[in-house]
Amino acid sequence: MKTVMMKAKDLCKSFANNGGQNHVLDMVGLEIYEGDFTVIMGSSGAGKSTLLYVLSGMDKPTGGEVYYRERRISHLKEKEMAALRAGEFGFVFQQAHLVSNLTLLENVTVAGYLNKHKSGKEIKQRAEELLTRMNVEKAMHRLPSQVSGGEAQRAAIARAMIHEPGLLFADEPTGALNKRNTQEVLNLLTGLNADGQNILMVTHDIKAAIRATRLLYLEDGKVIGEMSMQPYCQEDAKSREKQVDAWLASMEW
Amino acid sequence: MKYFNLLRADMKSQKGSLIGIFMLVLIITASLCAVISVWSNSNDYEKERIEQAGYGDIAYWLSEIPNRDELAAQVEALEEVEKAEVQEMIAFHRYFVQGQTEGVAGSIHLLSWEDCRKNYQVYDEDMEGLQEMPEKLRDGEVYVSPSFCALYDVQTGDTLELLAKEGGTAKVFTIKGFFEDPVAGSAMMGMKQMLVTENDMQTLSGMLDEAGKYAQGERYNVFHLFRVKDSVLSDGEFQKIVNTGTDLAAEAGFSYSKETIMGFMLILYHIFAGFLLVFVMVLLVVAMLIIGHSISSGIEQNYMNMGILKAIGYTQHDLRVVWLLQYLIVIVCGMGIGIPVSSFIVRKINRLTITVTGLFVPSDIPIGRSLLALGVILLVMMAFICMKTAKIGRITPIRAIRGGAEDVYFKSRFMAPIRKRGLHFWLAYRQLVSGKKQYISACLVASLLVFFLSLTARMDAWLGPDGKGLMDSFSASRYDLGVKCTDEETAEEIEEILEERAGITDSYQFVMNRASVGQIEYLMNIISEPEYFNVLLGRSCLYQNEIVVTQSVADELRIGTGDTVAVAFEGKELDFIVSGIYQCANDMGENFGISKEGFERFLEPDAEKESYYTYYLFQNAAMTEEIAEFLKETYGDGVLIDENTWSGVDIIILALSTSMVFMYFVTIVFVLITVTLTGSKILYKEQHDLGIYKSLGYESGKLRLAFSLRFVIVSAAGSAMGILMSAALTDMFAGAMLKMCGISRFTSHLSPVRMALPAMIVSALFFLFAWFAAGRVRKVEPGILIVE
Repeated sequence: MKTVMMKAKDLCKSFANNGGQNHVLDMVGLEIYEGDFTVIMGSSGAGKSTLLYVLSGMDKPTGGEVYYRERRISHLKEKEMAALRAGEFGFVFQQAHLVSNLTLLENVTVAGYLNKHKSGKEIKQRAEELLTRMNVEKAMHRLPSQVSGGEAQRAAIARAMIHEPGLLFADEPTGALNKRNTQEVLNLLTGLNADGQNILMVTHDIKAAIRATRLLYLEDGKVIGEMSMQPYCQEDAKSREKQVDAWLASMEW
Repeated sequence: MKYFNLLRADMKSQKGSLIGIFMLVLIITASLCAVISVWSNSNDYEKERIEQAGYGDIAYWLSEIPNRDELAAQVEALEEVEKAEVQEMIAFHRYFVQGQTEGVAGSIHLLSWEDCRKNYQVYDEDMEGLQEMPEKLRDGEVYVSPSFCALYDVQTGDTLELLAKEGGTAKVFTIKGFFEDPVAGSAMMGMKQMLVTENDMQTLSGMLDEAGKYAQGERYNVFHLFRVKDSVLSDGEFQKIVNTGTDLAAEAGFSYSKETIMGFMLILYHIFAGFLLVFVMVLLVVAMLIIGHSISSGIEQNYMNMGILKAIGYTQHDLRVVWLLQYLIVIVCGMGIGIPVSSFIVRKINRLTITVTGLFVPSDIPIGRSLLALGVILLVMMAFICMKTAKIGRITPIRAIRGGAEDVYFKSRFMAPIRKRGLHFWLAYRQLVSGKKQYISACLVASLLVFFLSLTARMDAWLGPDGKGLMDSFSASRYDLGVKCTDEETAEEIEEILEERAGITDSYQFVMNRASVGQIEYLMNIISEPEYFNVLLGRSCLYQNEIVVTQSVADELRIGTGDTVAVAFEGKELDFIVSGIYQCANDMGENFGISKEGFERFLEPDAEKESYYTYYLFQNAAMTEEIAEFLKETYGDGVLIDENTWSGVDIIILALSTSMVFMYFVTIVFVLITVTLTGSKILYKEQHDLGIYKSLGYESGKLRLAFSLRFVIVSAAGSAMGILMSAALTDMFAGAMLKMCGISRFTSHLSPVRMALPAMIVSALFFLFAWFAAGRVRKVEPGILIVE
C-alpha cells in the first residue's frame, strides 16, 4: 500500500478569455504517492503545466483543494507558501531559469541558504557535491551565460535538490535541450528517483515519459487515464517505450 | 501625422518617467525664475527707488557747517560733478521703542516729511501696497521703515522716544505708519531713517541746541553728489577726485556711495539668490542625470518595438525625433507651468521679506531674462537628449527581434561571494555590481544632493545658533562683550562683576571712526591690542606706522602687504605701511584697522581723547547675554553695551533655516523621483530574476529588502562622494557667495555627526522610497517562468 503525499480534490482553474471563461482544469482529482516518479502527459493545451503549477502552489486554483502530506496548501499565505517552496518543493523548469548574475554554484547555494538548520559551509559543500553529481563541476564558477543549455539545466536540477525536497516538480525539463543533454538530464532524474526522490514531471516526450513509475493522462482539464510501471532500467527502455506508446494510443493521443 | 501615433503610444508607455521629469523641470524652472526675479527685480527696484529718493552717486554726511553753500559750489565746480544737492537731517544716537527697548541698530536719521513726501512712498495699512496719496503726517507722528517690525515688533500706534541728552526728557512720537526707505530701510543696516514733520524737526533741533555738548545727536547736511552723465569713473575714482579737489572729505563725518547703500539694502536678497542659484545648478545636473537614465532604460525597454518599426521602414532619424519630441513636450510643459509657480513663490518671498528689506519689490517675473535662461537650458537638454538617443541608431531589426539583450557577462573587481550571513545584503550587492550603469545616476544624484545639504550644514555650523560665526567675520576682532562707561569708578565696578560672573581672560580697547585711505573714505577700526585683529595674510599692525586692510580695500586701492598708503584723518595726512590683510565684513568689507598708537599720531597733544569701548573675552562666554541684561538693568543709560551681535544676524539665520527646509523638501521630491524612475525600470528588467527567487522560496518582503538595500549602498557611496565634495568645495563656494557681503574668507568645520547627518537622511530617503517602489515585487509570481 503506497502512501499518498499529495492529493488534489475537485481542482479547477479558469482564465478570463474575451469576456468568457476558459476552464483549463475541470474538477481534477488525483493522488501522488511517495517514492513515485509520476509523469503527467496529455495533448498540447490539455492543462498539464497548469496542473503542475497549481499543485506546486506556483499558481492559485480557482476552485478545489490541494493537500501536501495531509496539509491543505491551496490557500496558503505568501509567507507560508514561500516556506513550503524553500523546504519541501523543488522546481525544474523548461528553461534553466538561473539568475544571470550568479555563478552556477551561487545559483545552487542561494536556494540552500534559506535553510535555517544548515550552515553556509555545509550548504556550499552539498552544492558542490550536487554539481559534481550533475557533471557540471568544471563549470560551477561560471555564469549561466558562459555555459551550455544542458549544463545550465543540470545546475537547475542541482539547485532544485539542494534542500532535499519532499517533491521535485519538473515542467518539460528537457524541452529546450538537444538529444545528448536530454538523455543526461533524464538519467539524472531517474537516478534521483532511484535514490528515493519523489518526482512529478510534465512532458509530452515519450522518451522522458518512459522514466516514470506512474503515468497520468490529462485531457480537456481532466485526468482520464493512469498507468503504473516498474522502476526504469536501461535494458528494457525499448519495451517501455512500446508500452507507453500503446497506452497513449488508447488515450487517443 | 507620421510621428503623432508613435508619439502618443510612446508617451503613454513612458507615462511614469515623463511625469517625473515634468516635476523635476517644474521645480527647476520655478526655482530658477524665482532666483532671476528676486535678483533682477530687487536690483532694478532698489536702483529706481534710491534715485527717486534723491540719493547721489555718493553722499557725504557733514555736521552743520557755516560754509555749506561755498562747499557745494566748490564741488559743483568739478568737471566730473554734474550737481550737488544738500539735504538737511537730524541724527539721534539713542532711541527707545515702546519706552523700553533701546534701538540697537545705530543712529536714527530724521528727515522732514514736507521735504521728502514726493521722494518716498508710504505702505498701506496691511502692507499689501504703497499709497499714491499718503495721509498727511501730523506733529508727534512718525513714519518708520517696516524693518522696525522685524527688529522691535512694532505696529502702528506704538511709541518711539528720542533722547537728546542723558537724563533729559525724551521726545515721544507715535508711529503713524511705515514708509519705504530705499536708503536705510533694511533691517540689516545699522543706520535708520524716519520721517517727521517740519515742526518736529525744529523742536528736535532745539532740544539738541539745549543739550549743547551733552547732545546725543547732531544736525547733518548730507551732500548728494551726482556724476556727469556718461561718466566712466568708478565710485572709488570719483570719490578720489572729489576728496582731492574739494574740502568735502575733511569736513565730512562719513560717506557712502549709492552702490554701497544698495549693497547694504540688498544683502539678504543677494545671499538668498546666490545660494538658491547654486542649488538650482545642482538640481539641473541631477535632472539631466535622471533624464539620461530614463532615456537609456526606455530605449532598452522598447528595443524590440523599435526594431520592428525599423523593419517596416522607419529610420533612426524618425525614431529619434519621436523620442526628442516626447521629452521636449514634457520639458516645455514643466517650464510653462514652472513660470507661474515661480511668480507665486516670488510674491510670497517679497511679501515675507518686506519687514526685513523694507522694500516693496515687484513680483513680476522678468520674462525676457527668464525665457533667455530657460532657452539656454532647453537647448542644453535638447543636445543631451540627442546625444543619449544616439544608441537608437545601433538597433537592427534582427537583433531587436531576438530580444536585443547582449549576453550577460560581467567581471568586476568589486565582486564579492554570496554568503549565508547577511544573504540579502550580499544579493543586493551582487545585483548592484553586475548592473553598475543602472545605478550611476542614482549614485550621482545622491552625491550632489548630499554635497549641497552638507554645504548648507557647513554654512549653518559656521553661522552657529546665535550667529557667532557671522559676527566674528563682521567684527574686526574677537570679543564677548564690549562696555563703555563715562567714569572710571563704574568701569572698575563693572570689571569686578564681569570677573566674578564670567571670568575675564583678556581685555582691550576698541573704537570705530572714519578716515580716508588713498583719498577714499573707509571705516577705521582702532584697537589697543592689534594682535586681536583677525589677520588672513601678513601680520597685524603692531607698530604705529602700520595698518591692516581688508581684501576688499586692497582690491579697490590695488595695494598689498608692504605697500605704503596715505591715511587722512581730520585734515591730517600720514603715511602708513600695509602690514597685512585682515577679515572684517563691517561696511561690506570697506574698512581698515589701525593700532591705538598709530591712530594717536593723528591727534594733537591737547585733543579730546577718543572714548573707547573696553572689549572683554570671558572664560565662560555663555554668561554674556545674562551679564549684558544685568548691566543694562543696573546702569541703564550710564553704560553702553556692545554684545557682538547685529540686527541682521537673526534674519540671516532665519533665511538660512528657511532655505534648508526648502532644500530638504526639494531633496525629498528629487530622491522620490530618482528612485521611482530608476527603481521601476530596474524592477521591470528583473522580473524574471524575482520570479526565480520566489520559486526558490524567497519571500516578497525579503526581496523588497534586498532591492531597497541596493539603493542604500548606492546612496551611501554617493553620499560619501558628496561629503568629500563638500569638504573640498564648500569653503570656495560659500566664500564666493559671502564675498558679496564683504566676508573675504570662509572656513568651515563640521562635527562627524553633523557631517554624516545629510548622508544618513539621503540614504534613509533612498531606502524608504526604494521600499515603496519595490511594492510591486509582491505582484511578481513565479508563474512568470512558466512557458505554456
